[in-house]
Amino acid sequence: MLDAPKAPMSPAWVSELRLSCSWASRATDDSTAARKVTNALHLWGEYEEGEWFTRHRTDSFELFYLRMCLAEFMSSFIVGQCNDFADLLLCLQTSLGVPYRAVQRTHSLSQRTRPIDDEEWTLLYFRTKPLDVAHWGSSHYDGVSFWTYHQFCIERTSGRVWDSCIQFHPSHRIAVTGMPCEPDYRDYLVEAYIFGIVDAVTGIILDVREYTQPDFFWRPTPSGGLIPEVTAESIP
Amino acid sequence: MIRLMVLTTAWLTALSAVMQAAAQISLTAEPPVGKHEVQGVVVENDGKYQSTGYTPADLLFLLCEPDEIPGYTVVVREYRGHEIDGGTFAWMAPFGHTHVWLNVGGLSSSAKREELQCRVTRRWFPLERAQAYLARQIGSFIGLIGGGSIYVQVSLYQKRASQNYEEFQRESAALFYRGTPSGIPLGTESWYSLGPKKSTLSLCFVYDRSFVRVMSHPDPALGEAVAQSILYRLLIHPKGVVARAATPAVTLNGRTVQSAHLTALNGTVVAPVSVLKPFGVKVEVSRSVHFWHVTLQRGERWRRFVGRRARLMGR
Repeated sequence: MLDAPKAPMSPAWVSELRLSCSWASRATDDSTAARKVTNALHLWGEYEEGEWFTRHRTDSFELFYLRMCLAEFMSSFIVGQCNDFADLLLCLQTSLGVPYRAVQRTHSLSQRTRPIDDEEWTLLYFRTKPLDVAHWGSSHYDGVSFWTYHQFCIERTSGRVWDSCIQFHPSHRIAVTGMPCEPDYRDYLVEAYIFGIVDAVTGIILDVREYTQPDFFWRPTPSGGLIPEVTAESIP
Repeated sequence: MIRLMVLTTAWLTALSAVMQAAAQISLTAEPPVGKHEVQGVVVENDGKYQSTGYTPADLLFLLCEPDEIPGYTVVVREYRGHEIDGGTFAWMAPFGHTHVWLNVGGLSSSAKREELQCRVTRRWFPLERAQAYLARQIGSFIGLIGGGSIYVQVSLYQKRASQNYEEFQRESAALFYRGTPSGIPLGTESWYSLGPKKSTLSLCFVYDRSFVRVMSHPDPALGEAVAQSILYRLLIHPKGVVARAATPAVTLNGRTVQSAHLTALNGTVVAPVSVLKPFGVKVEVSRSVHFWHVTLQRGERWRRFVGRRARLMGR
């Protein structure tokens, strides 16, 4: 360990330390340790779509069932979706004493509208550029994805991004280990935003438009990141 | 010297007790609290203060057997050292091909029985790739996973499962769709995603006190068939783990067909072919690791069911 563990791993869990210390062995500074555990989780963790080990999500909170996530990872390598990867990576890094870490999402869950041509349009989802989705190498979810948001780990002081869920452009293997959030990370990630006009009563999408500028609706939320609540309980 | 002998005797006694306890653990009884491995099945029992009464066998009943899906099999992960497989550590052992969690939530003294859950997971791999992994032509377990698999997770609750499509989609970054890829109904509610290449099925369904998740790559149709088989097994479970559907009335030659394994699956009557034997139907089974042929013959008439890649439920 490089320093005393930081929140949310303060105190650090033994089961978490076993992983983080193994993967970051021989690292002597924060950035090397952070890079090692980020790459290791991308190498050995399996992404699967859908709700897994995080619950009660708001723009400033989420609950991470770490014990269940570790149990699933150790039995099947499944980590879950981006929230689970980001939260687990946060725990791996902070258990080693790496400071100023939090998680952040590309977009708010609740504030997803912007006026376009005097009408209120809602972000439905965004289309990614080709991604190497965990695990490293050929995996089922490699390619272009359609996500309503994406969650990653940040350094709060600099806004730099660590993301073990994805690497960019499968043929080039660009790892996200301390990458500037803007423009690098944003421009590697986003291909297009898909907006719709949604009928407030029926929920039916009345019209759809696509915008291909990565900065058109880039809204990292919350601005300073959030630290999830970590629990050893079982998901009810 | 005497002290050493006493210590050695004590150690051997303790070891003997542990070995006896391990020998007594079976899949048909609730094991002691803790983690155990029995015949490739890793069982973790959290029921320190409360128990559902389910045994590992009750959970395993819900899954296809390890060798039941033609062309697929299960694999026990191996520890091969950090240089070859940096995701597998010796301290993660015991490894198994199937995991059963009993009485999850039961480690708390304030746990209530109705809040406990049990869960079982199993993963099947294409036979050739499984053999390549065991022959070390595939070095890491994640390398084996990358070539395709069918993963199944069944959660059993003591009360009605609370999952639903809206909540699941709200908590999911990826887009899911209601129903199933084929359009065939599944459980009370189901939803799915096919991944970016349309070759990776992630399918969930809810039925009464159960929540089931099936992931299949690269054969989504096979995953959906496996999901239907789980619903069938839920419906005929001898302990009534979910509410049973009304047993369909089936008559042959004026006689009622009776079987505890007879049920209706989305309007289709499903039963083991063995229930037809008393009616003069001969059953001939031919099976290999890739194919499963069942021929039913009654007098001059016959019908053959071909099980290939798990489409075993003849209609």
